[in-house]
Amino acid sequence: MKSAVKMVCLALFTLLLLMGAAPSALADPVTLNVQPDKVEVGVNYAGSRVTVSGRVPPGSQVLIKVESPERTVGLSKKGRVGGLFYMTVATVNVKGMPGMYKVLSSGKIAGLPAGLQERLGVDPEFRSICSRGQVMQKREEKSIILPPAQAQEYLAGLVRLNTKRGLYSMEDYAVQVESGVYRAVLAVPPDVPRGDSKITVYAVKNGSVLAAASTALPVVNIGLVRSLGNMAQTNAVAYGALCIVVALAAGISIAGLFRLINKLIFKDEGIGAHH
Amino acid sequence: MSIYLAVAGMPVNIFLIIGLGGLVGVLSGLFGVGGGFLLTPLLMMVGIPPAVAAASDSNQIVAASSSGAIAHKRLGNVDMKMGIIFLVGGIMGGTVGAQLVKILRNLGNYDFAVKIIYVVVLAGIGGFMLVESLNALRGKVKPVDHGKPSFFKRLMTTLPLQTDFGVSGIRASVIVVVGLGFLVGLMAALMGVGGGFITVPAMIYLLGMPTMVAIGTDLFQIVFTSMNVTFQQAITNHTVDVVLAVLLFCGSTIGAQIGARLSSRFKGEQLRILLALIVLAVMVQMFISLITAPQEVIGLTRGGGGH
Repeated sequence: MKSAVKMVCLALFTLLLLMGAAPSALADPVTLNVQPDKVEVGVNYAGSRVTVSGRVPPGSQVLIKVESPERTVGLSKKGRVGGLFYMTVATVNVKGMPGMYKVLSSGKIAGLPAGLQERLGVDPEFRSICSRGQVMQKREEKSIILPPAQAQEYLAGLVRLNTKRGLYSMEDYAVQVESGVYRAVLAVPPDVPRGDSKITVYAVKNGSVLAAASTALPVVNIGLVRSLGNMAQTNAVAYGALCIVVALAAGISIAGLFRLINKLIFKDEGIGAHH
Repeated sequence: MSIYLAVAGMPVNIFLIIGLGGLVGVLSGLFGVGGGFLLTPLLMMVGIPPAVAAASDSNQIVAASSSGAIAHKRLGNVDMKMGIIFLVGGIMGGTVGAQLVKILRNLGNYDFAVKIIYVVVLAGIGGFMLVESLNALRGKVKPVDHGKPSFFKRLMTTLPLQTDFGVSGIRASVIVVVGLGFLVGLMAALMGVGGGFITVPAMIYLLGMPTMVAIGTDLFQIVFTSMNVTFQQAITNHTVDVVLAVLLFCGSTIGAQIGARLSSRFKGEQLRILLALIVLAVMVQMFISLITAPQEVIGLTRGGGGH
């Protein structure tokens, strides 16, 4: 008997829960389609376009955030030396920053409440992303993490570099929304980091997120790019030997070829003085 | 038409790269020197990461120098004995130089020292060649043949282990040749260049070798030094892009043939004046870049780019 009562209680409780959750479950959820669903980097790759589309609750602002895995980057700082010369005065490694970070919005990103910008990491100055970065400097064989005041200069420089290379962007009015259907074209730059990038779509209304959805966008090497790239990294000795053999073979065969050309066309030995 | 480079991690325009190789090839064909120290900066200008540019350039030099050395060998322009003895010194100098680089890096301001040395060496070689070849063109006596025996000439002929270098037509001490190779290897390691633009003038002016034999012998020894550099880069930095190297070679080999044909229309002195002017121009450009404020203070390091 006791167990039967328990069962009924549980059933009622579940029903109550479901009813309580009903309003948000019934609201238009966000859907997310990515076409093509992965980026393949082959010999002919020169950057690509990915279409991101789906449905959002009507009347909401749409934000699409694309974030790749973290990538450690070496940076150098130029400064004045000896009052006359400009040259590298410091080198650092920056960790914790994504290699690619792009935000596309249907409206003005700057118009969103500051708190929301910070929470979603979509502020136009990339401050929230920079707060994740760690700037490591090597001092006497030891790596130290620079305090924020010193790190800021490098992080801001990295953001500028990545923006110039199309890896970082904050794009206003880059998403078209019409009666609950949104669509955007994402420009994937040529040196996109490999691995799974994460695409997240937020539907924002009255300063808060109504709903969100996310999916992975795999970026993979294929063909020659994959085999050569892998070999150079994981089988460096064989790759080094391959580089030398290819170069020697090219050099020797070209020497023979031009000897023939010089003999047949110019009727002389030519002079192959070059290096 | 573009091709994606696996190691550089970026697409490049095939014709642009072949064109760059061709341009440098014409200059090398004309003068017999000038691959590395022109090509690497040009590649960096079109956006190839510095580390990949330097490493792939040395891979390209393996191809270019071997094809050049074969052609010169056929014409009797390679002094193998000289090349091998020079190489022994060069490898020792390169090894010591690499250790020196490590020590200097830890002391800091290494890059500063390198650039200053580079500018001074370029200015010295360029200036000397310019004056020498202008004098030769005006019909003045060649200092190499008739000037009173210099300190170096006396060293060369009085130190022990004297030996004949048949192809070059000179007699010199092995110690001097190894020592010269050592110095060139040391400088090449310190400055991160192949050293051809130091070797050829050193062979001509210090050892007294005929210009064409100096060029042929330099090519012969560069085959080995560039092979070594390529391999070291591949296993330590993973920055050799073999596709980029082959593309560059396609351009440089055609350019070199054109340059070699052009060179027969000039006098040796005229060629040396041109080369001196190019060396001086590179020097001035480097000096200006040292004293002008950079547009962007923060940049990628040699390890940047790629993956």
